[in-house]
Amino acid sequence: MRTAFALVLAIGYPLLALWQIHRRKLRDRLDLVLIVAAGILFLFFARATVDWQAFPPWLWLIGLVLLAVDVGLAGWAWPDLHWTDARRPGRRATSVTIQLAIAATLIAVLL
Amino acid sequence: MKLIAVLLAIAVTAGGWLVRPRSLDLEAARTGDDKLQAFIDKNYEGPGHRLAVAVIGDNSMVFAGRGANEHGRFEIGSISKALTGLLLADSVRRGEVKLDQQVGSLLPLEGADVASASLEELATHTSGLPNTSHQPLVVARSLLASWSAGNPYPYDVKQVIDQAKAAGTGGRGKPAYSNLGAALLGQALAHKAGKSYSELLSERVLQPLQMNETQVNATAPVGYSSGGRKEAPWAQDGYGPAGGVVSTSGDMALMLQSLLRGTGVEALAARKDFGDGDRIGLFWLTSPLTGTDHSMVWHNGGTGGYRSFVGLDLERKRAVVVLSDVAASVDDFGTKLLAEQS
Repeated sequence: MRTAFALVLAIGYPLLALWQIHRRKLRDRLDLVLIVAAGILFLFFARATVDWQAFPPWLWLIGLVLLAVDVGLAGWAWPDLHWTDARRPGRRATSVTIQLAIAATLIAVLL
Repeated sequence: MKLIAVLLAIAVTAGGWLVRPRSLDLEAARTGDDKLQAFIDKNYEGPGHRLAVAVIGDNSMVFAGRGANEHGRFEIGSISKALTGLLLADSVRRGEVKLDQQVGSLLPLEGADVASASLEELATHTSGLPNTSHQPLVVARSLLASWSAGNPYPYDVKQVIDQAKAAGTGGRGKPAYSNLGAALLGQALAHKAGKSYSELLSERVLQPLQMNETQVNATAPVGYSSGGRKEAPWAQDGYGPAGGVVSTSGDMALMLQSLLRGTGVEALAARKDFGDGDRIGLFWLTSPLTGTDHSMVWHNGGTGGYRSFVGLDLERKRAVVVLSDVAASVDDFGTKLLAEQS
């Protein structure tokens, strides 16, 4: 169950992000940064928790390639977005900073 | 910005490629017996790195290895419990303890549910204790260790006793594998003898069998997860009796040969059903030996970066050892190796 969850996150999340970026569903640049950080986090989570004896490691590479495509496409979406699209930019910036700090900490643990 | 994004995408791909999960291959350097090497070539299917294998008779020992010989050090994980079972049988033989004795008579467990569990219940995983403590901090630490390739059992003896005192024993009498129970039993025997578990095991089991390369709470070379991630050593003090022993295929062979010759064999005798057709003695399991009409007495082990298996066919007086520094099960390989001994 945990393995299936981790694999779905590692592959499904960057796929969802791909759709969001392609369809311009993101509010602002902070959203872009957050989804890339979350994608990296989920990849590391899958790397650490999946039994790679039971599942082929190339599944992880699918997630990696999808994430790389997300990063590349973000370059095209970036100029059309503002840094933040919130009524209270300060509060949103703080929220994103905290989320990124948590993601960075977890990635450091998983690495 | 587009160029930067493309460069970042390339960096993500390259970085991910470097840390990707991957299957490990057995080391090329071969040691020991050619025939046993041929068996490894033909039958070892899992990811591997260092591997040490031994086939033991009551008057013979044959070794083979990849990147390791019979002196290569491996974490043997829960085969430590099998050693604790031998220690318990020895303590009973000496008249120091009885199997129906309550563990509360040996350790300060005043008022705790587990105090009334017998030594036999602890040794047969029927005490009702959980596998590990359910205390939130212990669970969180274990999860963190799992994610960070760390050691989930960094506890000393007092902490193990405290964890056992806080744990419930619902379901007593039913088989439920318990690292906590095994650790508590080993520490109880040590407390009774007035020594540390390491000292007691060394004095009563390791030294008599000249297992000079076996230690508790020692460090082996770095092992690997099944996906090739480097894993921290599981050096264990309090949990040493359950999984903290580092040994070699040579020393494991000495232990098994002694058992084939009948020394300490009472620890192996099945006492209770353990589910799925298995029976259990003092930690040692008895199961049908696949492909034969014999049974096998066995135990396996695992840490973050290691897997191990020892099995005995007492009728044919053959035993096998398989030690690997990759956390991918070697049970099927070990069982097949034992079944093919004539």
